[in-house]
Amino acid sequence: MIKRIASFISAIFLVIIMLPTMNVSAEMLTGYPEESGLIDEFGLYSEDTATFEQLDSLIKKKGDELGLNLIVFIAGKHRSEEDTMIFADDSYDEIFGEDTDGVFYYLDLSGYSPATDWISTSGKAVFYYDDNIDGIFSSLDYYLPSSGSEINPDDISQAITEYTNCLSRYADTNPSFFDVHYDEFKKTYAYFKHGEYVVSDHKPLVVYFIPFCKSLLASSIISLIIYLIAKSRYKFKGTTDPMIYVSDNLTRFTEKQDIFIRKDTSRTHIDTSSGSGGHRSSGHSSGGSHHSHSGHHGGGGHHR
Amino acid sequence: MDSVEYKCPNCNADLKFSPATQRLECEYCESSFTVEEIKQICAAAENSIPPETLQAQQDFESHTNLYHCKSCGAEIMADDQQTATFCYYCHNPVILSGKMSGSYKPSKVIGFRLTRENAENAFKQWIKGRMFAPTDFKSQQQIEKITGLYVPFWLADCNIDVDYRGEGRKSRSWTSGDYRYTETSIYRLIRSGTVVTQGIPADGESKIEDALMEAIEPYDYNELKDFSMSYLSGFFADKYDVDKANVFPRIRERASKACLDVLKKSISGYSADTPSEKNISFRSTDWHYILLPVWFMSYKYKGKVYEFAINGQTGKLAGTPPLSKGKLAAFCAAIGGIITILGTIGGGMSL
Repeated sequence: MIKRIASFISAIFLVIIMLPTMNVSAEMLTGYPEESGLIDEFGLYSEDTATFEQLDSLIKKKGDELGLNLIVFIAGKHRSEEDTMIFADDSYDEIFGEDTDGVFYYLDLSGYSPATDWISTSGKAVFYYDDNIDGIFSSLDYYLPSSGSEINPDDISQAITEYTNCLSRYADTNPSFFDVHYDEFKKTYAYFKHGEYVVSDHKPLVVYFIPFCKSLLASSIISLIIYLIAKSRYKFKGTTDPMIYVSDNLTRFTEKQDIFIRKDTSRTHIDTSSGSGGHRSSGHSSGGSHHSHSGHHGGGGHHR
Repeated sequence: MDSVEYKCPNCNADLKFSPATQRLECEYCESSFTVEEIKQICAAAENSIPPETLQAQQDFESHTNLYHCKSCGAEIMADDQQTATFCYYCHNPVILSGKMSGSYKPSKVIGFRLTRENAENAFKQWIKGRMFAPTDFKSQQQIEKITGLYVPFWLADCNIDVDYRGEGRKSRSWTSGDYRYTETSIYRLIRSGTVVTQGIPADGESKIEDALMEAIEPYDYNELKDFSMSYLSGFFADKYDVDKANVFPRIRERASKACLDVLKKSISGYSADTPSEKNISFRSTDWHYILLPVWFMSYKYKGKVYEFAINGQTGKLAGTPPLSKGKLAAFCAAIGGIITILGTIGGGMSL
């Protein structure tokens, strides 16, 4: 009996221990060639190969134009938001390798509500797009169906076309010299130096520049406040109220009257109405950089 | 020049007035005497001429020396026991220039209550929290320059007629339904009478800032004594160089303000009052010329003279401490530097 209880506890303990590693072994795309293109897990264009080819070609062309690896993945299977993020990051790394320059766009057509779309960026694409992920998703909202509603292949085609346009429109190809991304998992710093994308173990000095400027500004303001306060303490202060010299015993009012004259009453209408805007349903969006267990990734997600 | 010397009847050494005991004390044989006792003992010196007033005036003329500062022009009165080694305004040596006229004899005096040690401690306490004052200003050498000085003051007792006519408003508001109601009751206000102020002081010394002297008020006039030269022993004293006609505008301003405060105090409970007529007229003013005790110090820093004064009776102090901008700038720079370094390192480390 004791042995059974011990083995049961051991099993639970092992499950608890193994839980974190389950994320590591999350699914990813394997066996795809190292090239930009469209991956249709949903099978939306399985019968319309012409459209598929056309979109695939468009993505490849845009990738060549921007110097980025581009994957548009039409998902037919529901994944949680965290799984989606890991799937996108890991699939990109599996196809193109870690810290290469590119974008993985996960388009959720699983029918699950809410639909979770994800854009995973890697390499210099982190700098190009991470500040504009919300803008890209907003542009796509016009074409993409709400979760659970009917899917029109033409709308998806237009969404993918718009997506490629967005990649050109939102590309910040001259990222700031001061923009540095730190990968907590790999302990590496990614930044641009003389136009080249650099991933380094050493912290670049430029990291200190912005804190230095901010601290200098804050310290200047604090110093100025200290200066003004200190200076005010070195000014002459002190007066004596002449009321103390008034003799209460000898001061007399021979006439002291408060005569009521009249009473006025006025009224004002209280405006209780208040303007209200129409209710608008809007999608929730989240963004920012994140770190998977593989390459240095940025990106963000969006619910429809 | 003749001088008044208060000699110990026992050992003939000099007597000095002690603020702590309010007596004249001999440092050698440790005898001590009240002012009245010394007045009687020194009657030959102070009261040689029978008519009291004439005698006092002559004493004042004969036994008071008037020094004239070459540097700043200040006139400083002192009895012969005092050696004016420096002018208490500019700290330059002073020279004897003549006798003081008896018309400058004050009628009353308040003796020093605060000893030099008390004054020095009060100054040290006051300057302790001012870390940006020049180091010289805090030095013992500077502290030793604190001078006990009898400052000439004019005291004015004013009878002032006030006449006020105005309108007062009391308002209350409430809400009923969709309306907010405001009810305003209007009253005619009448105040008429006499306000009496007693003992508003104004220093008759042009060299000292009026605001500085006002700041160390009030004095307790219950301790006013008939003037005697013996109170000056061991201290500096000054004669007035601003007469009562010239101090009257200051007195009038302060008394008028007091009247307005009395009127304001009498009109209470109104949310607003609008005067239609407000007259303040001085019916009569009685004057007293007195000497009041002040521990005084001046300090010249970067071409500007900073004055510091302590009420020699109550210990109330006032003054403008000099500011060393170099010290302050260095402190601000150090604080700024520390914040910048910590912020830079902290900000850089957080990434």
